[in-house]
Amino acid sequence: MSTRKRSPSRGSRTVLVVLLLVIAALSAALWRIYPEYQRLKQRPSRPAGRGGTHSREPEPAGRSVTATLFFTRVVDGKQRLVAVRRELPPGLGVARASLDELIEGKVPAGCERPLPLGTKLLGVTVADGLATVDFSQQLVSGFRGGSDNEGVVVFSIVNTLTSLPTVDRVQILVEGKPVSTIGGHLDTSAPFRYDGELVLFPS
Amino acid sequence: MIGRARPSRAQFWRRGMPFLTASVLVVVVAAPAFAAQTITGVTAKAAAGQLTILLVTADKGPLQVKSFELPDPRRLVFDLSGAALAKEVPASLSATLPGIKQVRLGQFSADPAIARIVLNLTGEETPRWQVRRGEKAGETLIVIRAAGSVELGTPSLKREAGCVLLRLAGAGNLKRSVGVLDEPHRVYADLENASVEWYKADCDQAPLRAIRMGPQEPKDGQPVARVVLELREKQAHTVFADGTDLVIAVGPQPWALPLPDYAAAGRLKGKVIVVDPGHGGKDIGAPAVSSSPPSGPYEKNVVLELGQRLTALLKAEGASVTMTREDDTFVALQDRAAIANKLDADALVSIHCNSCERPNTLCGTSVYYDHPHSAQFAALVQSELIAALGTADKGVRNANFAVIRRTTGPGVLVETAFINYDEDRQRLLNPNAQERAARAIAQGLIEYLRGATKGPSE
Repeated sequence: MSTRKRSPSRGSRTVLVVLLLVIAALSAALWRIYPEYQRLKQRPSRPAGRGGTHSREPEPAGRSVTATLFFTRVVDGKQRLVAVRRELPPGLGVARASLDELIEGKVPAGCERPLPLGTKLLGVTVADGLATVDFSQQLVSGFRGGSDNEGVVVFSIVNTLTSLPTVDRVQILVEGKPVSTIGGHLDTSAPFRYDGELVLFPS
Repeated sequence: MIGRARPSRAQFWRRGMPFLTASVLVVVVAAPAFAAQTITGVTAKAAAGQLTILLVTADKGPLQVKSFELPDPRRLVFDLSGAALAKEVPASLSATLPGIKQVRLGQFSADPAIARIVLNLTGEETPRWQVRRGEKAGETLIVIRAAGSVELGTPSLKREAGCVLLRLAGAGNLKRSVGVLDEPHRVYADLENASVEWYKADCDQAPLRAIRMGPQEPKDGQPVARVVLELREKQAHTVFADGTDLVIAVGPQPWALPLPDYAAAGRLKGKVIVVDPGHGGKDIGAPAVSSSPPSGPYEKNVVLELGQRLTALLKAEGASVTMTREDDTFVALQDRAAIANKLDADALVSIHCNSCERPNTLCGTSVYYDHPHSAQFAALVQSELIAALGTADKGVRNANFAVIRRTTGPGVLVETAFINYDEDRQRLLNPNAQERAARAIAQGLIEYLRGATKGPSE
């Protein structure tokens, strides 16, 4: 390599490349931030607890509830559950709102919706720490098989609900009745407690 | 074909093992000499399954070593003819090996001068030994290798059905763990209780690029040898024993290669085993294609075939085997465990195929346990399965699946491979691969029960 080759045109090209890189980085950042910005814009302003566009009535305290939702993520070729914190509108139906968010809410980047496609939430009741949650038959008929897959389905529901302070056990029903199993591995006839085995903790 | 041929040390060990008959053997180190020697120093060190006794003579002359075995209690004796022990030589050595309780020294006779080294044996097998000249003049080494350990020789290569088969004589019965490494693609097997000298040979037999062997970190004081097959591209593999040989095959679909005949040896005599093919009847398990309606083959059919093969092997080994279902019928989860509990079974194996939402995304083998006492059982089955099928190692996992949770005795749930991943499904549907999977599970089970019956005797 000889220094003779270093011409002015090469210097300006370097500047151009650096400029392009900066523009690319800025656009990437903007692209990541924009959806979050949109989401925040739609949310009622928290400290005031009033004047927002949300239809639900805020609690007297005016605070929204933070729920922990469990979505699926594949890590090292294994299906795992990741905990995602999400603010839900306050109210009595926080258990229901959590599951609604799990079924219909925004899926975090790199994650998948844990429940079989088409599964509908028919009802949730909470009494004495036991949440009884009723799903449409798609929870079973839409299940594609696999043991981890079944674990992901069951414990996304169970871990999401047991993350609420009022719930420590979860009984799953399908069309109003308990089922012995969803996919032939886990026994769903009795209530489950939180299980961290599939949960991927942030390192 | 695979580089330079070396004289095999394995052959040396085999030849140097004649004292099962307690016959007397003479090994002469250097030229025979008959003048009495004074042994001024004896030290011993044990490492990597090898006990090395270093004898130092004052006058730097050679030592003449005779060896024989004595019964009741079993002893391995080395007589050093024409040698006298100096006063400073200790009466016993602290270094030992598995199978050797004690090493003692003494002057067996003064005239003729015979010094004696006695090894008290605890194992059934006689350790192998070798006498070598030390680095310095007047040094003699007695190298004793733990019983059952194998010195690996040069491997041989063969082509079959588009695959390359590497054969290692004498390594078939060694405990092995097999894995893959990337960049470059490699398949390796760690062989326990085996020693090997560094070896490398370039190889022009696609997909092989090179073969390497070398010692690994010893495990439980025993030597471990690693055999590495370096590949030009990522290829499937299978590892299996053929008689006393070990075969590592790489290439397209090596798991479809024909298997050697199964040599049953009554290793499960008196054992009660429950084989649980998952799903059945109205519960199809996971389908190969999850269309609507789903199209087969279904998990329930594949696991029944695997279960039938496993049952045949376990029966051949002398076990009393009960299947939770012998045909395509539905059995409730709690009933499956109840069968094992009622029989007070020594072990339960539940056989499944894995699946996931989107086809061809996830693959591999994993074995699940619920009770901690089944963790070792799961690990043994997992290790055998990934060696036999060459599937991705998804590891041993803990899960409270109903069958293994409700079974009170040892139980594992095997997720053999993914039925909705093409290369995994090919294995699940191939008869030879099915047989490999069944043998792997049987082997893991045999090893587990062998260890379990011994108990915490150490």
